[in-house]
Amino acid sequence: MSSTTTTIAGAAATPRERPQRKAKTKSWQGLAFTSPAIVLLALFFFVPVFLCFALAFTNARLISPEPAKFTGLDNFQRLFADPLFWKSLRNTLYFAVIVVPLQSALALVLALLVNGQGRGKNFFRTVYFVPVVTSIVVVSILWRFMYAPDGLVNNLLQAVSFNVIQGTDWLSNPSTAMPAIIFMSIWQAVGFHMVIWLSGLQTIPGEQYEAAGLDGASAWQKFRYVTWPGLKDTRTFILVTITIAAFSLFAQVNVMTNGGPLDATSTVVFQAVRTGFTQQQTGYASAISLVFFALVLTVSLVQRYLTRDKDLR
Amino acid sequence: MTASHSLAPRPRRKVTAGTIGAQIGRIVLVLFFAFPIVFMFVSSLKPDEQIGGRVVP
Repeated sequence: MSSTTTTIAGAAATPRERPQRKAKTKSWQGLAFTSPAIVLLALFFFVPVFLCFALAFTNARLISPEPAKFTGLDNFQRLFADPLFWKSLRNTLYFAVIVVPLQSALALVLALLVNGQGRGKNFFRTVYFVPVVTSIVVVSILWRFMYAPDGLVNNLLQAVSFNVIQGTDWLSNPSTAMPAIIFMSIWQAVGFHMVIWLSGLQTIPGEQYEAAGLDGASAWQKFRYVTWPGLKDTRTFILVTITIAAFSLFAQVNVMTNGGPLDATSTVVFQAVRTGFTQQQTGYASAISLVFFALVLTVSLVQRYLTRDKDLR
Repeated sequence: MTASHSLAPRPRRKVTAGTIGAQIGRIVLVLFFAFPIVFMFVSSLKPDEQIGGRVVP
C-alpha cells in the first residue's frame, strides 16, 4: 500500500518540477554547510568593522557609566592635531620602507639558495623557517635578552672586534631601538616569504632554463630573463603581504620597548591598542584604526596599480 | 638489462666556485637563523639569575 502511495506521489510531480526541487534542496544544503563560516565571519569580522566605523564618530569609552554620544569628526580633528599620531605614522612608514624591500630581497636570496638539487636543501629550508613557527612573543622576549647592554649581541660584537666595539643599550637608545626591531622582525618573518618565493620558483618550467643554457645565457641572464619574469604574480603577492604586515607592527614593540624610548618605536597599531585598552578611549582608538585602514587600503591599491599586468591594458 | 640500469653510476654534479660559494652562504645563513634559537635553548637550561648575561656570584 505504501509503495503504491509513493508511486502516485512521485507520479504527481511533473518532470519539470523535479529538477527545481532538487536545486532547492541543494541550495539549502549549501547554505547549511557555509553557515558556520558565515556566522563566524559576521561575528568576528563584519560586526567589529561596523562597530569601528560607528564608534569612530562617538566619544565611547571602554568602561563608562555615560552612554556614547555622537561627536562628529571631533576624534579625527584631535587625531590629526596629535603629535604622537604623526610620530607613530612616521615610525610605521620608516619600518615599512626598510622592511619591505630588505625582507623580500633576502627571502628571494634564501629561496634561490634552497631551490633545486643542492645537498641538504630540506635541512636548510627547515632551519630558515624555524623562526616563523616560533611565537612572535617568545622571539621578542628572546631578542630583548640578546639586545641587553650585557647581552649576547654586545658580547658577540666585543668578541668579534677584539673589544674595539663596545655596543650600546640597543632598545633604550632612540636612534637604535627601531633598527633593532627591524633587524629582529626580518629575522623572524623572512622564512615565510622564502617559502612563497620558493613556490613561485617551482612553477617556472625547467625547459626555459635549458633553452637559456643552450643559448649560452649566464647565471645572471637566466635570473634576469627567465626567473624574474616568471615570478611576476608571486612578486605582487609578496609585496602586498609584506607591506600589510609591516604596517601592522605591534607585538614586537609591545613586548620589547612598549613604544619607547621617547616614543621612538610607537606605531599606529600600537597607539590604537594603547589608546583603546590602556587609556580606554574606544572612540578615539576606533578613529585611529579607521585612518590606519584607509592608509593600508590606499597603499595596497597603489601597489596593485603599479604592479598591474601592463600587457592587458 | 634491469641490473645494468640499477648499476649505472649517477651523474656527478659539477663542483664549481659558484656551488661552493652557495654552500658556504647557506651554512652562514644557518648560523644566522639558528643561533638565537640555540641561545634560547641554552638559556632555558641556565638558572634564572644567569640569563641576560647577569652572573650572580
